[in-house]
Amino acid sequence: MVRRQDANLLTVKHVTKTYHSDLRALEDICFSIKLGECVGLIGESGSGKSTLVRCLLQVEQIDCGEVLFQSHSLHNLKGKRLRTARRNMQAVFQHPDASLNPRMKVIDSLMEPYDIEESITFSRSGKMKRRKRAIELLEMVNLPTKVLDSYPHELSGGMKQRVNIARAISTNPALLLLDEPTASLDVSVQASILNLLKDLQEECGFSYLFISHDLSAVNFMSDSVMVMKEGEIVDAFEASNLFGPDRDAYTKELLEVYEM
Amino acid sequence: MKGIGTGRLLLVLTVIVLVALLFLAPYITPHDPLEADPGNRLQPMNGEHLLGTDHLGRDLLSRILEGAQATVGISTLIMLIVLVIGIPIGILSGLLGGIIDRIFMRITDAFMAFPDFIVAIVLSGLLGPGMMNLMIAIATVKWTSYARLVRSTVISEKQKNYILVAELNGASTLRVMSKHIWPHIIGHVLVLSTLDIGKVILMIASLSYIGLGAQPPAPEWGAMLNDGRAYFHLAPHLMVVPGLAIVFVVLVSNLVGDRMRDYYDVRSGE
Amino acid sequence: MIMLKISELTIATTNETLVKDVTLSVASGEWVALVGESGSGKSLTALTIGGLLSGQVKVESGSITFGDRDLISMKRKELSRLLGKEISYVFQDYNSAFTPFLSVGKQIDEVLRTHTKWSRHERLGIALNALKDVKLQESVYRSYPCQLSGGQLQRVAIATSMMLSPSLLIADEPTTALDSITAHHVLELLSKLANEANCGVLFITHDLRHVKKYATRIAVMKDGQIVETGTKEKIFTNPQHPYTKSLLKAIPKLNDHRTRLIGLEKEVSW
Repeated sequence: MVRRQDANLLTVKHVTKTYHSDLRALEDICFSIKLGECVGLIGESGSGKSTLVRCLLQVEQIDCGEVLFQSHSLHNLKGKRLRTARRNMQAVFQHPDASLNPRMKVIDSLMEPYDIEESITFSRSGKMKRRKRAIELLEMVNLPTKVLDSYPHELSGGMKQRVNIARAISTNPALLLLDEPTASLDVSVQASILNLLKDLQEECGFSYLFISHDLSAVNFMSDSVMVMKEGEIVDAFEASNLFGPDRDAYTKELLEVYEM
Repeated sequence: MKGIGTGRLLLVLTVIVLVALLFLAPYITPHDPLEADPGNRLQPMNGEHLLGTDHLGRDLLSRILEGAQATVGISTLIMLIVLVIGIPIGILSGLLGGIIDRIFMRITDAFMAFPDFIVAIVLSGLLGPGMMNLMIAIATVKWTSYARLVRSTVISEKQKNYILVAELNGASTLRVMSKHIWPHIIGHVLVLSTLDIGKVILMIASLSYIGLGAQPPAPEWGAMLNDGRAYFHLAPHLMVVPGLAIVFVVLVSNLVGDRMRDYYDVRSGE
Repeated sequence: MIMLKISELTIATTNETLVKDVTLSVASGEWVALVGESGSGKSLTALTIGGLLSGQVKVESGSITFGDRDLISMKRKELSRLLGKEISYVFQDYNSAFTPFLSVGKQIDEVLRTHTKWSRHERLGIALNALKDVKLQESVYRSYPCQLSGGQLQRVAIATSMMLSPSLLIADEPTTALDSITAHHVLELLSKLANEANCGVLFITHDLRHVKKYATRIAVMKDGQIVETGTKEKIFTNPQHPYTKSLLKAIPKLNDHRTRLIGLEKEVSW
């Protein structure tokens, strides 16, 4: 897949979001993500990480500032243009359970974006094509074909998260928002999921916004790292500069937790 | 495992037999359920009248069979009316929220503030005796709990991320409703309504017992209980038989409800 | 002095062995970490100590002694006197550890009332002191659980379980649901309080990082069995069992973010 290098895929300019008049959730957020890049965002719970994701996904409206995605201003998009933009920006959330309908088979959850786009066919060949595509997607996330006809509760947490990832990449998005994708998994399973995400990025050239409270995971995944505290970005640096002397005091505190 | 299998089989067979009896009742009644025969009153069980006769000499078996249509048939009908009213209101309330939600929920609050039995008695008292008015009265008090149940299901599922993911991928409200929310609703509603149908049967029977439902000479189990009351010492079967019929049907509907709950819990489980 | 001694403990349901031949001891003042993935049986082992197993799961063989008392054969009543006073628990899910409609203070007071004969005034003093120990303000005493953050609630849980100076604290993934910075602070407090009370800690986790700083000994559990035990230094620097090695390799390193992690791919190849 050829993608133009060094162009900003996502640019966030001075984004501010306030809840209920006085609660500042996001304060003057500025950053950008280049094509094929992984930007890490680290912060404690309540620091505004998830609010940022919801704003980027246009689930919540920002108060002021601008979000440019593929050089379109996101909050001016309506109807079909917004739908296209959304399909180019997919998300994977923390709780793999809540992201899958417990009453739908894996294949139906996985192929939902496809079904919406293709308008369901009842023909035999149409069904075969759909199933073939589903198997391809499962292969990309290293899941065996037999999970297609299982229900989510028959799968482990790690497998469910793989299904979520497969669904997210099924529309071939340019940007994936990964909101704590490994936080509710065992460390050993976290490692496999992180590896998978990295492999997918190398194979398909996705850009990531990787959000986590786990410094080591963010550091493993990202080219550059932002540190968020109480709705503000307090520090931003290249991953290789993690131990640099000009780190913010808060970043240093985070480092201490992991150095131990 | 084998025990569970035969239990289920028995239950299914019972339900099939019950439904068959319900539809075939007019054709298989040995006597005319309304035909009085004063010379033959208060007969005990015998070869001619398998369950005996009542105080007007009417065949009890025929009246029980015919009465099933009034009791079981009408309560099923009431349940359907309740679902047709309750589900859409619950869905609208949960999905739209805001002012519509508040209006509907205050209405249900008003109904739920009183015991439904009392409200049903008052309503059918106001509307006057009769089967039609009884149906209206019971449906009016019953729809609220369904609207509530559906609304809470919609609200709790609405905020799950899989709905968000579907919406982000461009799923229409209709698709979200039918693919994601409906399957959750239907499970809960089916379970509740099968458990509830027993209560409705009891309600019809009790309202008929106090003279607000079925009017003589129409056979209805509750009304039959009432008729038999005066002759309890002479002919106890006049109360025992309709009483047992009610217990039996209510029991079966509760068992079916329990089974359904188990069935629907499996997939929503851990 | 050995506080807790588990020998050859086997836990099973009717058709499956969940924990097999687990032998483990905790001395007073010692911090023992039990590390393993979900489903390895580590939480089950922890629950068995307090007799908290439920349903089909039963202890098949082995013994658990606390001081010189046998916990498995102990009567429920005697055991419940022990729990909360001499053996206390902290769990992962801090939300369900508190009743939502009672203030935090009431719930702390409840524990004190169960185990002591102190006056109301004395109890309040102890409770406020316990809150101060975990660096919470006095106002928390009057707060309701929903008004506190996850980290604060977990600190209240720790305060509650440590205020009667137990000789054994069983911490079942207390930091897993918290973010790393909050977890770090909670751990620090836990270790400080445990040190002051010279209390033995059995710390259960899936993440070796959480125990790197405080544990004296580590036991690694896999599929219901302990595969390796050793001092912290030995486990971190010179692990013997391949499973321990892979657990260590699964942790991303801060100074090296280009090499792939070693994931345990067990979950994929079923």
